[in-house]
Amino acid sequence: MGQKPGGWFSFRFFVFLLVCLVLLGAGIFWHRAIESAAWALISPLQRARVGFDSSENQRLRAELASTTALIADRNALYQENIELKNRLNRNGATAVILAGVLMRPPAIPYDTLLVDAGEAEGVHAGDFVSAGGTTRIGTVGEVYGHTSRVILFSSAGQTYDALLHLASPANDSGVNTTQVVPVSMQGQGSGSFVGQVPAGTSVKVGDSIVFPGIASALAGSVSSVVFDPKQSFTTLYARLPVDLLSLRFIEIEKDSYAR
Amino acid sequence: MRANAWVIRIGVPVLFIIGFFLPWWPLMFVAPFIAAFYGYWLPALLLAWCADLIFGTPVGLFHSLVFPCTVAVVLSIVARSVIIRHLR
Repeated sequence: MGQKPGGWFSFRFFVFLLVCLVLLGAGIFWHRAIESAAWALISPLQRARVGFDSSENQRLRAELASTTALIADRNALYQENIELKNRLNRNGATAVILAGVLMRPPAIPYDTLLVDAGEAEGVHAGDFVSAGGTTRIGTVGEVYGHTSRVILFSSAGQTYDALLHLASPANDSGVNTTQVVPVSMQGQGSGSFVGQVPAGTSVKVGDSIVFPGIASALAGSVSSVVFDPKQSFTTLYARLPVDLLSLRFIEIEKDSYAR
Repeated sequence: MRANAWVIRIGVPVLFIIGFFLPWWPLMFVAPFIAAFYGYWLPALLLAWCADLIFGTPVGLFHSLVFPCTVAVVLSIVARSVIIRHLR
């Protein structure tokens, strides 16, 4: 392919080295500013593309995804509601910023979303992101002018402390009791997590995984349980309660990073 | 060979753009590697850099790389050069 004879330290090699250094140097030192400028140019294109996709079918799929999240949310809320009725009425409500999803997997890798709300709309890095109601799906990773990048809880390598709500049958007096087991969940990508609980824990498919806190939010539901009698732990697999491919809007919990 | 060169020169950017609008990120990821494989290192580096801007900083193990696609393309260009010299 036009390979010219010459040593390693040819003019072409120095140009290659210079370009590499400029690109990687710019990437390391000014990547936030460059990404911000790039997204200022690209986001109108993405908005236009998302606008073209908004057919009836897309709208119905988005509604179905939202409904699925609400149904998954309902069981966790019901259990929590019973507990909270016996306690002080502390306000756990948060202000939210509605944002449209510009890019989602498989358009971008690393289990991230690109949304159309940024610094100008009051978004901060670390803010929690929900798919509606109390269904949390991730945190804001990077904030640009009018766009932000959301890192989903299911991103590979991410680890979170959560609580596993074990649904128990009603006792003799007809009251549902909730057993809570702390669990460390690790993201596996594509909306799935893995975690371990002590062997003997009565975890079932469909049990809820929530984040601790006054506004304890649903993070996922158990989709599979693997028990090996030789091991002292039971491995459980969970999924985000929303369909990432159909997600059109998300809610960013304002200033939730400080809580 | 000249026809092949034009296929690469036009095909690689088109592949990258299709990957962006389809949208399917592996196509965007593959485009700079094809350019690097055929010796077009400057377009390969620029496309990889653009892909990294769009993809953002990786999450988890490769977070510290910041621009992983560009780094991978640089390594592939160096590997291609070493292999060509070795086989010559």
